[in-house]
Amino acid sequence: MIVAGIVIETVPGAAARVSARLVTRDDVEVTGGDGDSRVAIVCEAADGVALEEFAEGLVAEDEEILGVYPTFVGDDQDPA
Amino acid sequence: MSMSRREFLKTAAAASALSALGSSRAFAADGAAQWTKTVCRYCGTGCGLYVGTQGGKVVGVRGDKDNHNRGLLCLKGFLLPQIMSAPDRLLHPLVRKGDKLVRASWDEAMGLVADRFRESIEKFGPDSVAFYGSGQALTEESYAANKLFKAGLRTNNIDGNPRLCMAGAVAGYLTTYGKDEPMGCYEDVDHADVFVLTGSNTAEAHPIIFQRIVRRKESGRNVKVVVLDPRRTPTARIADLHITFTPGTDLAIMNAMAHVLFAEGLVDRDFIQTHVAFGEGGPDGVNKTLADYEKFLADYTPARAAELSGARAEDIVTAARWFGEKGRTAMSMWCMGVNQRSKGVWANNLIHNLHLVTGKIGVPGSTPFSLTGQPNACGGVRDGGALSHLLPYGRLVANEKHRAEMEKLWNVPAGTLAPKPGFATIDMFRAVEEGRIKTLYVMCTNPGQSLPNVDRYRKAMQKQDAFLVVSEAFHPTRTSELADVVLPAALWAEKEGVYGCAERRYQLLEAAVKPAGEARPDFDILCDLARRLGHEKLLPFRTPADAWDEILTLTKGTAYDFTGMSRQRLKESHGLLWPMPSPTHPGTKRRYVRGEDPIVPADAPQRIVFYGRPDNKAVVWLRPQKPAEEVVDAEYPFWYTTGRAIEHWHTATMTRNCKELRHANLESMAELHPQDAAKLGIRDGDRVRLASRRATETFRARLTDSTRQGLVYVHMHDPDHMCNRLTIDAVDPVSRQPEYKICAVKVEKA
Repeated sequence: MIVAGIVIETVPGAAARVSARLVTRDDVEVTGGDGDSRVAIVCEAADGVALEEFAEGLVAEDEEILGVYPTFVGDDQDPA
Repeated sequence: MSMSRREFLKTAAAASALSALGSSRAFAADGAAQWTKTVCRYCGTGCGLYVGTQGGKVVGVRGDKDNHNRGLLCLKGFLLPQIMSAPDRLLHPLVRKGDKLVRASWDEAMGLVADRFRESIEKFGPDSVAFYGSGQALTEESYAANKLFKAGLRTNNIDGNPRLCMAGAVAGYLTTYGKDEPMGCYEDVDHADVFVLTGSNTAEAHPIIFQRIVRRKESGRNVKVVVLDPRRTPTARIADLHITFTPGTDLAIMNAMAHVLFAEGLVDRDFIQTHVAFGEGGPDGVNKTLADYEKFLADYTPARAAELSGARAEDIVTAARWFGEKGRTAMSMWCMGVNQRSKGVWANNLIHNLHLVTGKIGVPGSTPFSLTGQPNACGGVRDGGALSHLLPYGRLVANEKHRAEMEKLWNVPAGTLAPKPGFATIDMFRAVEEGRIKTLYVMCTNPGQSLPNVDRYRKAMQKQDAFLVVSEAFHPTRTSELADVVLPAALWAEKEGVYGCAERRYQLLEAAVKPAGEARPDFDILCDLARRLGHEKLLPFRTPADAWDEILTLTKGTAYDFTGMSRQRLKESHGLLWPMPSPTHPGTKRRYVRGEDPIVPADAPQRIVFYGRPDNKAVVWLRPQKPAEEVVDAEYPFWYTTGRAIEHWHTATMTRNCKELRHANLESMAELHPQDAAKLGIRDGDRVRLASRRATETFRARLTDSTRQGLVYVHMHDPDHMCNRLTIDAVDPVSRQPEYKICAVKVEKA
C-alpha cells in the first residue's frame, strides 16, 4: 500500500469546495488547508500506478484543481 | 509508544503536507528512518529534499520546507527511491568481447580504458581523445574531468550535454551583459506582476516553479501571464494571453513588442541612456545607437510581425502593453523553445532587449530568467568551465591571460593548456565519425538517444576505430549498448557533491547510502583513471570535499566568487546563492545591483552596474527575424517539434524505472491537429510514419487541438521511438547549440 502526503492547489477561494468533494472519497483523508487555495491531504493507494492515476484523475476531473504536489510518498512494505 | 509502519507513514505524510502549507505541526518520525538533506536528481529547479533511509536502503523522500521549494516536490522527485534499486542498475563493469558486453573486474575495465587512452594519445596526439560530460554530474566530478583532460591529457576536447540545452542562454547572457548566468532569482516570481513565458512548458518541465507562478497569480494584484508557444501546452492553462505562432518566428514577435514599447512611450529613456549600448552582428558590433535601433524596429510593426508569424497583431500589442506598463514589474522566463534553435542566441538577446529598454531589470519581480533543464548544468559545467571553449569560472581557453592564470592555479608548467578550443558537442561527434577522435569517454549522459539526427552519431559511436567508454548507473541505455566499456556509476544518494541550479543556488548532496553492487562515484573513477595515466598529482583528492576546497580558490576575485561557500556552510544551509565572497556574506539574490551584489562598489553612482562589459552597459542587439535552418516545403509540409512530459525526464533512464511513471505517458506519440489528421485519413491511435530528410520513425497518433495545424509534436523521452532520429543537427553559429525544436517532416498513415 502506498501512502502519500499531497498538497492540492486550487483556484483562489476554492479550497473549501474542493475539500468538501475530497472528503467523500474513501481513499483520501483531508488533513488541513490554508482556507483559500491549498488543501493538505493524505492519500492511500494500492500501488504507485494507482497513485499516479489518482493524481491525474484529480486534475482532469475537477476544474477547480490546478495542481497536485506530493510532499511525501512511502510504501508500507518493508524495504527489500 | 509503538506505531505500525503504515501509521508512521500516514503521520509522516500528513505532517509533510501540512508542513508544506506552513503548519506548525511538527514532523513526526518514529526513529526507524534516517533523513539526509539533499537535492532532487531531476530538473534544473534544484528542489531541496530529505532522503529517508532504513537498513541501508532509500525508502522515501520528503520536501525540504526550508528550501526555495517550500517542501513541495513533483511526482518524479517523490518517486526517486525507486530508481535506486531499479532492475537495470548496473552493478559491475562490462567490457565488450566480440558482439557482447561481458562482466569484468574494475581492474580489467579500467586497465583497458587507460591503455586505450594512452595508445590514442601516443599514436594520434592528445586531440584524438575526448570527454563528453553532463549537467547531471556533480560539480566535483565535472571539475575532475575538466582538470584531467585539459591540464593532464592536454586536450580541450571536453564538452557536455549542457551544450544541447542552454548554450544559447549562455551566449545570450554573455553577448548582452558580458557575464554568464541570470541576475535574478526565484524570489522574483513572488514580486512579478507580469510573466512572459517563451518556449517554456513550465507546468511540465519545471512544475515547482510553475506552482510558484500560480501562487503569485493568485495572490498578486492583476497578475498577468503571457505564454508564447506554438503549442497550447498545460502551461497555457494559466495564461491570460497565449500567443501561438509558426515555429521560428518569435524573433519577429519580440521585435514587434519592442516596437510597441517605443511607439506607446513605455520605454525608460533615462535607463537606456545610462545603462544600455546598442549593437548589431558579432561581439565587435557594439557601435549602433538608440536611433539605429528605433529605425530597425520601425519595420517590425505588429501587423508585419503577425504576417510573418501567424500570431494576431492585437495579441502582440496586448503583450507589449502588459509588459511595459509603468509601475509594474515584469519577469521573462524561457527554456528550450528559445535555446534549441539555430537562432537561439538572437532569440535570447531579444528577450533581454525588452527588459533593457523598459528598465525592468534588477528590481524584485523584474528580471529576465532562463530556466534550466538539468540539475547541475549551471554549477558543474557552465560555471565550472567544463566545456570545450571554457576554463573554470568565466575564463576562456582562447585567452592567453586566462590560460596562464589557470596554469598557475593548477600548478602546471606554462604552456600546458592548449590555446585552441576543443570540439563542441556536435563537432565532437562529427570528429568521431571522421575518425579524428579515437577514444571517447561519456559520463552520466545518453547521447545515443539524445543527440539530434541521432542515427548518424550512433553509427559514428559504433565505428570499428572508435573506442567508447560509458560511465552510467543503468544498463542498457541507448548509449551503453554501443560501448566498448561500461563502468557502473554510483547514483544520486550514493555519493556526495554539489549541485548548482538555475538561480545560482549551490547546494550540497550528502551521501545517504552505499553505492549499489560494485558501483563507484564518478569522482572516484576519474581519480582512478588519472592515477593510471600518471596524472595522480593533478587529482590528489581523497574526497569530493578536497576538490571543493580547491575549487573555492579558483573563484576568488572572479565574478563568481563563492569563496565563502565552505563545505560546512553548504551542509548547514538550504542553498546558497553566489557571489558569496566571504564566510559572512549572505549570498546574492540580484546581481549587478548596488547593495546586493558584492562586486558592485557600495559607492557606485548608479544603482545598477553591468560590470561584465568595459563600459558597464548592457547591449541591446538589433536582431532581425530569420527562419529556422529547415523550413516546411511541398515534400516535407509539417513542422516538427519535440518537448517534455511531466511524468518523464530526458531519455527516461531514471523515470522508466518508476513503475507508475513507466505506466504514464512513456510512449512518444505523434500529436497532430484533428483537421490535419482528417485530411490524411488518420484517426486517434493509428500508427503514423513521420519522415524527415534524415530518418523515418513510426509513432501512434494522438489527435489534439493543443497542437497548431501544420505542426507535429513528439515528446523526447521514449527510448523505443526516438524523436531525435528526425531532428536536425544544424547548430547556432555562436553557441553551437543544435536546433532540436524545429525541422520539417512529412506524415503518413503507417
